[in-house]
Amino acid sequence: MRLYRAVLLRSFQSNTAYRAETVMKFFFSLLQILIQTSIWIALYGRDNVHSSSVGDVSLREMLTYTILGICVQIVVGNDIIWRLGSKIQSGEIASDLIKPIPFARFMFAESGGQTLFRIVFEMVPIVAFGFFAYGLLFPSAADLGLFLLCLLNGIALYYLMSFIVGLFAFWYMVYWHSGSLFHVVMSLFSGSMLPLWFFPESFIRVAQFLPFQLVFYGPISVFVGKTTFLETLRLVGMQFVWIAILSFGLKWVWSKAWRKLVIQGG
Amino acid sequence: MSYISVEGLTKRFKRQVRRTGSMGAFKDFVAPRYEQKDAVNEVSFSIDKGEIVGYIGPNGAGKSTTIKMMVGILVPTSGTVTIGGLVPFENRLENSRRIGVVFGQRTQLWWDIPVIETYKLMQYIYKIPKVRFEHNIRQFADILGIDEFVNTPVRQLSLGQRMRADLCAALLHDPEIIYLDEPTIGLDVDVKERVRGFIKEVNRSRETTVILTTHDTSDLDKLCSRVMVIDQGTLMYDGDLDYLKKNYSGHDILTVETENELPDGLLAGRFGDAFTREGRKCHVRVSPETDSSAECIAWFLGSATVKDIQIRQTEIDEVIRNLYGSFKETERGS
Amino acid sequence: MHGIRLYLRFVIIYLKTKIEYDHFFVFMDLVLNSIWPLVNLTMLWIMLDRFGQIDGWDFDQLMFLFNLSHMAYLVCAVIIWNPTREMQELVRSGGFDAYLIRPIHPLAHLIMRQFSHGHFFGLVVSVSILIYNVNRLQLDVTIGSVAWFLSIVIGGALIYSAYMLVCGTLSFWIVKTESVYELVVDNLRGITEFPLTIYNKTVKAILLFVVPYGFVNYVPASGMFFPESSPWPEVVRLLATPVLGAVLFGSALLFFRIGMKRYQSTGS
Repeated sequence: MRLYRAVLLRSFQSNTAYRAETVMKFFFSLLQILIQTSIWIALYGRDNVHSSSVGDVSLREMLTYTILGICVQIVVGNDIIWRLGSKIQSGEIASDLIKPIPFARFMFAESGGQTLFRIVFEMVPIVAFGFFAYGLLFPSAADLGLFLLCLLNGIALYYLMSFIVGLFAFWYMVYWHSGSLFHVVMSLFSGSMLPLWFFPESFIRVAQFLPFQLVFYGPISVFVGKTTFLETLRLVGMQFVWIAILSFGLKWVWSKAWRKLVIQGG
Repeated sequence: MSYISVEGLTKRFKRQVRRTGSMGAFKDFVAPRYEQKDAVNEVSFSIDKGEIVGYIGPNGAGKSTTIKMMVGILVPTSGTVTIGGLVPFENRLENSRRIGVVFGQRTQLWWDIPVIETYKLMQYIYKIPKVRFEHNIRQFADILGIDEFVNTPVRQLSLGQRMRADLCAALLHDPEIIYLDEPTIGLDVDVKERVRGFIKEVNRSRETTVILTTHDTSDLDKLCSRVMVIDQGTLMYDGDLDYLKKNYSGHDILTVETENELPDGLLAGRFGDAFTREGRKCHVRVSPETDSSAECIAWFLGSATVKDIQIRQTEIDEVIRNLYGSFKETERGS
Repeated sequence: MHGIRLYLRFVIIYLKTKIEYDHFFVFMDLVLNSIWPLVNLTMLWIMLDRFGQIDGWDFDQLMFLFNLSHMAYLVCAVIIWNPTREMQELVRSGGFDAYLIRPIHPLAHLIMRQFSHGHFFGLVVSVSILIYNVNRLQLDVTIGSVAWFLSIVIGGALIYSAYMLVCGTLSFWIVKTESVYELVVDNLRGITEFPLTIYNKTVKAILLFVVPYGFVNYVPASGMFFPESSPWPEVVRLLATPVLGAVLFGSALLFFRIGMKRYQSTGS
């Protein structure tokens, strides 16, 4: 446990060296907020609320959703696919696996350090900005607690998904293709920028079965208070189910990858 | 007037000195400190048309910096460079038309497509007349054997093939000077031979001036009669290669295998303590000041039945070290 | 010009060789470059299906706006994306030297050696979207309007190229320019995917007068769809984009020359 904490801290520290880049990334996110909120304000026009599959949604709720979307992106986001991909392509993965440390957890700790850094130096300023500039809505204590639980699950889910996609590099070297495809699917079905409640009926029905919306749309709806308690429970349940499915999936892909590495040399 | 004329050439670089510690990083950002370094210091030489000159020195000695200034990529801090009457960095376009450059480690060929297409690109860039272009390709193909892979994408070539293709690319436009930077590095012996033969032939038939940077002693032996040695920005030697080797060589190592084991006493009598023996093999360190490999071999032939002889000659780095050592001594003396 | 004919010849040979040796990867590049704009348009469609319009622009008009920016970008990216992005590495490793020893402008040489087939596929998709779009909007297709449209696209491409070149040229001074490149070339451009009227005055001013991406798509398109409410006189709407493009690109070339001089005096 202490090892992972050390890895996490080291990863956090190494990010402090890139000051200029941190500032840049903050501006990227700020720009995203600006664009998204402007779009929603324009869409709403003179209306204060708009109908959706979950009833009326006010502009303020929508703006809160948008800012949360970007925050969750920061918290959940990782560059696992790229790091795994380049490690596999270069063969570095072989030396990583010789070390007597569970690899997946090690990568997670490294990601964790970077995420922690981004939370402190990117997300906190953004939330502050959002609060003062747009009047962010805050949920009740209960909703906040449930949101955090869903968020943690979301982090686990996204990590598992990314790792599996990253492992594809063992078979398909051009890992940025796999990564891109994954991102396409995520942007369509996760609700990271466009909440599912505005989607047409048929679309919602499909999206509900997929695990992608459990990372963004699900938790953020809880935060914004658009779910009933029952619905939230269902959400959490679905998250656990998918975590189980993906964990098994990961183990399976991993064993196949390991075999390929050992037999063919990667 | 010699063709290449370099006079008092100096290049000074400003490097930021980085301080340590967390306050250091802050100070570096707010008030950076710099130091001056002379990569090339008052270098002068002249080269005539058609010479093949070896330009050698340890890594970081200033070789590439000098060459960059001659090629026109870098602007000198002071001093002059004149090539065929032109100042390179002031006449980049004109100068570029007369030179060819081969980088040993980097290819200048277009990676994804067949070699011949890069040649056609060169034809366009250098405005080579069609007849001349075809003549050159045919001639180079003969000597370097490029035909077999001229239609293959560059990324699929072996190192030897790539180097030959690069060499050809550099000479298509009949440059008056070619700069070769480690052209035989990593190549097989037979390819090295071919490359050296090619360079010699081009120099002979077209009077192309060749400036060669290399760490390979055989390259120098087989190609250059004249050698310039640079170390720490200063030109330390400019002259005959044989003279350099004779006077600054370190020890040759002579390995002689005899039919019967020779007694140590006998060997000690001739070589003192400058030998070791493993069974029937004798290793002798030959000091050029007092002895020569030839004389040692003669002694062996006269003293025993010799089955095999091997001579390991001095490496260039050792020559330079010795040169530097004696240079320092002369300085101290004067 | 002979050079352009040669470049086109190389492009064809490049594509042929790539397809011959790498056909699956090329196919994937085609797929991925086609998917992204379609995904973005799908999202746009969903939003407008619910809300009807953004600031008076309907779905087809927004699609036109989006596609115009995209097309101009792809036209310039096909030629100049690889060269400007590579500059950071070339300057850092000293590989740029190889471009200084040729009797040809290093930028021309860099362009000659690259061709971004990914962006080219995206361009094909973009043109298809344009055709579909023009049909739906029932726009007049005359020689005059086509000529004007081409001038806008080329002018827009020049504007984008200018900024890409400037960001690439920064490599002569700054070591890590990737973030700046991304910010200026990708993120700021993202703002213009929607009509500039939805943003506040500062942003609008920046995108019209500091980094005039607004002239690539917004000014021409708004002039076309809403000529009465446009603050720009007709002359501006017709000519501003190509003129601005030429001027900015020319300036960027001068800046590149300054960068080159610096490289030559300080080495790498």
